[in-house]
Amino acid sequence: MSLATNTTSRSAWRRIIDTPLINALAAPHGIGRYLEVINPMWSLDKTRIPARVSAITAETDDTVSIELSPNGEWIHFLPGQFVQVYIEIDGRLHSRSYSLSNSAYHQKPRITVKAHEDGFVSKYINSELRVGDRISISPAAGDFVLPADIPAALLFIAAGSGITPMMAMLETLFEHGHSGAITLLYYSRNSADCIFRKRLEELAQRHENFSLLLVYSSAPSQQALHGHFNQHHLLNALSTNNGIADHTGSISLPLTYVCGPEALIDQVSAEFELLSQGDKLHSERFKPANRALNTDDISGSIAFRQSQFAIENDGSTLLEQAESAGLSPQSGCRMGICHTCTCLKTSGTVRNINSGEISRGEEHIRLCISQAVGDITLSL
Amino acid sequence: MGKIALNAEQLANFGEEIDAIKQTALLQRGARDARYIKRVVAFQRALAIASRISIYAALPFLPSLGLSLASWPLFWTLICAGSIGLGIAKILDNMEIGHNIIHGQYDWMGDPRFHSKHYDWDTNCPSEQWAHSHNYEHHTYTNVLGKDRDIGYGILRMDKAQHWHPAYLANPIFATLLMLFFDMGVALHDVEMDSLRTGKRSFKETWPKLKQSLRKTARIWGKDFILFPALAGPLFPVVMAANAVANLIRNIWSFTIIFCGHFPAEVHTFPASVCENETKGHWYYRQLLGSANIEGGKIFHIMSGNLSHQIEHHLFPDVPAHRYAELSVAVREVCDRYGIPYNTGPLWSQYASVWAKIFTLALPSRHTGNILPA
Repeated sequence: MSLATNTTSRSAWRRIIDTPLINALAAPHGIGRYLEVINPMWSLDKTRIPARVSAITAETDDTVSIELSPNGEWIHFLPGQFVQVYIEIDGRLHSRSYSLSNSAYHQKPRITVKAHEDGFVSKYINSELRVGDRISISPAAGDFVLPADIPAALLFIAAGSGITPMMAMLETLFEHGHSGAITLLYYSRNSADCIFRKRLEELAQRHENFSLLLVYSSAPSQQALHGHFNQHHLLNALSTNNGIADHTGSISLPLTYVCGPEALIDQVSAEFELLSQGDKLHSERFKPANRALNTDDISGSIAFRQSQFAIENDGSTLLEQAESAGLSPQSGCRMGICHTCTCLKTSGTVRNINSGEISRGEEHIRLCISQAVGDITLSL
Repeated sequence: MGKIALNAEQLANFGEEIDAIKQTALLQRGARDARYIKRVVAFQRALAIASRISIYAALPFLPSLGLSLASWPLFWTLICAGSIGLGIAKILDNMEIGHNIIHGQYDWMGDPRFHSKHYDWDTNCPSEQWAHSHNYEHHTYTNVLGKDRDIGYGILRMDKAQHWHPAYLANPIFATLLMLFFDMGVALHDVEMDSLRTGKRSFKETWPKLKQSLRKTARIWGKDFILFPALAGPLFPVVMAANAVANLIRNIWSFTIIFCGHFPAEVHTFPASVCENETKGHWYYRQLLGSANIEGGKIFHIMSGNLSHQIEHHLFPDVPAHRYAELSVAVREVCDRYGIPYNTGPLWSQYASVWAKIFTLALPSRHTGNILPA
């Protein structure tokens, strides 16, 4: 059976106003840019949807859930998807991606953000964001989603903040009334650090078909399940699910979703590959927070996304390296003044050779005065 | 005008000091600048809406309609307020907002609405072409004869070093036409029609940019001279006239401010040789000597898009322009210490010297050289 999630469509007034004739009258900016001056929520922008923070809930000491009220451009999301969140901090927009963590049947989407040690934005969200603040979000995206036909058995494996997309899936499945077997194997440091612990225990109590296995990595070794993921944990999880060993004794794995740090995903993938059932596994990587940089480090590679090749970083400016690689990006003064060489860096960190300023993540940069620090990807 | 001589060491130190002023300003960018540009944009958008409404609001008061509302005073007040307001809105869009955003002054905000690669301005010139001819060519080769096409724009004789030709007798006429149709002049600037005319470039080479420029013109003029007038039905000529006056106001004002940037007396031009291995110090020196400021109050500065601080703009093109006034204090102090002239004056005198130049250069003159080596 398939999930029929909340599907709202774009409000009528938006469809009436956002038309070629009215936009021609507002050329070249478009009518949306005039509307948003009267009320920011009236923006017609489909890629950056303004949303007010309608509620903030502390989940643990370092994690908060942010409930959002987006404007009429927000359609819906599939559980497991994420949004790109844009927050203005000291005049600058910072963007990060966060999975939606509530049921897709809800009108207001929710994200759950864990504050990382070096996480500039995640720390801001945890300590500075207030109800009533306005941020922007992208439409929901991602293919870490449930299939149209939900199978009879599902296994979810998560660690830390990797629980967030699974929470959306679980809430949606239960609200829908799904009765197939669902097992969640969830790793956190200890019970205080376990995000959504109370809600998960509540769901486990309420729904017979839901098996909850909480594993605390700091738990003493006498505990049945402790430490990090391994085959023993997997078998334990499977035993709670619909019987899996058939008469030949070979194990049939259920459709499984894993989300968390690189190490967890690698280990789970390895186990699935061992059983030659890698196709049953869907994974979503959560990148680690930015660590302290060694800006003299000129290692790493420069990937040219459009051109579909990559080169080794040699420490010279990105403009020089792109040209040596045979590309011809737009350029002008070649000294950081005219901004002709401005190009979108989709990921990675660069250093401005004039000011020393560091740019992380998805940002436009000037190729002629940027040096890569580690791996980066350019829209070239 | 005396010779200004700085030795290599002084020039280098001068460069470092100016650079330090710039780096300090760049580090200070933040909420203040974001708030400023958003406020200016909000004001401009609101002014544009209110002005256009005012133009329509004037129509029912036209006595020729024979309505009981007939009133010439009310009609003229509303239509003038609307037309002038729209002219001011266009000026703000083109100068304080458009020109500055396309320079990349607000790229650091990470907001596509204020980003040079995404912003389009309300005038006939495609922003991409402006970024090329202005941000790159003009700002890199500022006042270098033969390389900076802003010296004369391919139409006028604005420097003695430009060879005289009988056609230049019409210099004042060309200048007046450029002033009245400045939006078209800017629209065609990067198309390099002068190169097409002299045969340096073929029509085939010129066409892509010309097509892009004409397309944008069709959108912008179509909006002001077809779409908006059409909303007034049979009264369309009134709206067309009001919109035309608004465009004229923008054209005359922009021409005035922009021509005061590099053409007043005492502004220096440079030979092409300076571009070879130009040091940072000399680059700043050339930008300074090649520009002129206009004195005025806060509102004047905003209305001029802060091009009243042409010197600071040329020293720091990608620093948010609203900071130029405060930076000029430090820049002037540095100039005083190094004995470098700082060209500034009230609008009327800067503008008068520009027109004086337009008239005098209409006549043949010997090239006595405004060009001074550092």
